[in-house]
Amino acid sequence: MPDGNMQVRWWRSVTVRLVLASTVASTLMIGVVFGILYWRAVGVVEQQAADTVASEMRGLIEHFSESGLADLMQTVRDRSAVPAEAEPVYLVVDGLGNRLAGNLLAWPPTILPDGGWRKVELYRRGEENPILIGARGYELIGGVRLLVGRALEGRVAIQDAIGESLLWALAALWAMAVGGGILLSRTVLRRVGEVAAINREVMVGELGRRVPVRGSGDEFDRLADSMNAMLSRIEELMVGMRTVTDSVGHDIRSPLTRLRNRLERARLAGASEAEREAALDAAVADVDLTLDLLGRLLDIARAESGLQRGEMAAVDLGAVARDVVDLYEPIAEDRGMVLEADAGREIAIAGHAELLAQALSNLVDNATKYARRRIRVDAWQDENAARVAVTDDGPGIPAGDRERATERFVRLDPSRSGKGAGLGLSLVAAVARLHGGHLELADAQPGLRAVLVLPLPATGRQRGEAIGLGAEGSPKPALRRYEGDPVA
Amino acid sequence: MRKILIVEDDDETASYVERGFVEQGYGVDRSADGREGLFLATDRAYDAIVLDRMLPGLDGMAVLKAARAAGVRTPILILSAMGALDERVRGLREGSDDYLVKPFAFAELHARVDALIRRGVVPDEATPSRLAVADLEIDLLSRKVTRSGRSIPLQPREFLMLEFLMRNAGRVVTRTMLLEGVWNYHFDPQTNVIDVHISRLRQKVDKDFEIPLIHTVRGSGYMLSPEG
Repeated sequence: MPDGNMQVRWWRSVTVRLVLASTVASTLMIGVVFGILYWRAVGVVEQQAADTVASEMRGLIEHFSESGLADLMQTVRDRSAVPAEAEPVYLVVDGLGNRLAGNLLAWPPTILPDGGWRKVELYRRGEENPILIGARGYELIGGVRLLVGRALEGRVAIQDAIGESLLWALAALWAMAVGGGILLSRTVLRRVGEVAAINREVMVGELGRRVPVRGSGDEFDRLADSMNAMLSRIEELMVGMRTVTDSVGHDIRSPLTRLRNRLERARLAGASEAEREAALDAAVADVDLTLDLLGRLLDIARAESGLQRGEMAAVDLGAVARDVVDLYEPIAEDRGMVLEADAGREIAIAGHAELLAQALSNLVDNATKYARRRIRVDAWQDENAARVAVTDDGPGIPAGDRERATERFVRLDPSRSGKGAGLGLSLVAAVARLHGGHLELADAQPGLRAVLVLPLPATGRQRGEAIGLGAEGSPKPALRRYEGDPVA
Repeated sequence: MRKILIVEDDDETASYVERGFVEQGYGVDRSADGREGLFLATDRAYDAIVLDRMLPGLDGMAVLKAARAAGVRTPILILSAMGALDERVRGLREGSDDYLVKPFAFAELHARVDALIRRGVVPDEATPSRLAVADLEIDLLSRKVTRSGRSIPLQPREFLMLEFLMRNAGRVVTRTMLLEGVWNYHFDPQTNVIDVHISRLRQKVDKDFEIPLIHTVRGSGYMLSPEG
């Protein structure tokens, strides 16, 4: 299993490609280094030969001027006869070019009698391959010319030595590359394999598994970190989903059971027309309640899944707050409460106006159920965030219950079983999260203070982008659907 | 007779809607297939089309787009189980005139289709500056309301509600239609806040007069009309 899907064809493997590339680069580098070395070494050897030849030439010229041509010829003959390792070359010719002495048959035309250092390829008697000779020529008095040279054999030796070293170096390099490559790809493959194995375990349902982080802060750790964050989010969503299914199972079953019983009773013989009528009405009410509940659950699920993020547009949070206050003001008054608002300023955020209005109306709706006399709605912004607070003077929520209050289906007051399904605050929390913000519940002494905290759009250029993003998908495309002139 | 095309593949829903409209005196054609629906929509003259979103043959959105591209200007109401807000926006953007989420009450559908048809019949000609029903008159420019010559002071939002009711005089206006038309929001408030707004409006418009103009239509919504 561990290597099951991990067999990568070797030439596709990143490691192999990386090792290949670095080997080629190193080979080139070594080639260049050895080339320079060779060039320099050859230069040094040749310089030595040139110097030796120059001093010998000087000696011979001196000898000539002191002792004359015959002596020079004799000396040259003597020296030519001695076999020497460095293969010295000598030649003395007369003004007509006839050889007088030396081990060279004729004066090579490329050697000029000016004392300069020149190279020429010469053949030994009976040999196929030329040897390279470095030589100087000099014209003595009376048209007599003298040539002194050395075979540059040392150069060949250097060539051989350097070539051999080069081969060894390359062999060592390639051995290291293969070894290192195998080691590296083992390590990489092992860690990739670990990640893939965790993935498979998660896929088959073990949502709690996480990729091990070694703490070295390397690329794999960073990958593991972000994978783990993703897995946590997935687990959170899955758990949320499970909670929903469980709660839906519970909360939808009860009204449906009630409905079924009602209809059953209405069908019984002996039920009067009026009783049937009443049962039908009650049945419709039950169904409406159930549908409403379902709709709200779906709203929360959608907000939580973040699917509506594409619909974000520029929204004035202050205007949304004013709208909601306007919507609820009469009902608050009806219930003998005062609904006050301080939301006159424009608060520009990037958001989903419809969902924000729905969230805020949930908060105000709750307040109208629990407040004694007063409800306040304040919308403001500071440098950190945009905020809307809904404050009532009702019984509030005990500190220990506040966390739980935003969970689905939680009704803190068990006696209030009829009204609402306990989804109000969880929708608000979900909408806040969708916007990258959160819901704060606090004690208003007495009462509840619920604050919707939403992030401000990034300033400057980013701000334009953030708001422009959803412009096309604005949730309010000029809805002049009925002839009624929309809010002026 | 007003003619309506219902494109809906669920037989149960289609029959329910058809029966409802026939009872209200409409002529109804039904199609259970997107392609056939599109063909009917382009071929015949209907006063309104009720279009389901998920259809065999051709998806409702595609039918909508194709019909609009073919120059069909009949008002189209999308009926869909996909209720989320962005779906609604998409439907409206693609050229539908209204969007109703399943499950729905027939009264709601009827009221909306009615409003669509009426809007189609009376095109936006020179917008009148005054509306009148019986002895109630409103001036859209000066935002003044009078009944039997007596001036009735209204809050801006109350004025918008009254205007909305008067533009739809004689027809049922549902609570969600009011919320959409006056507040421009589509969510469903948990408490029936609209009822309280209407009762306030009633206090001002009907209380001191013999004949009430704003009527509650049980199970559907409200209607502004001279007759009970």
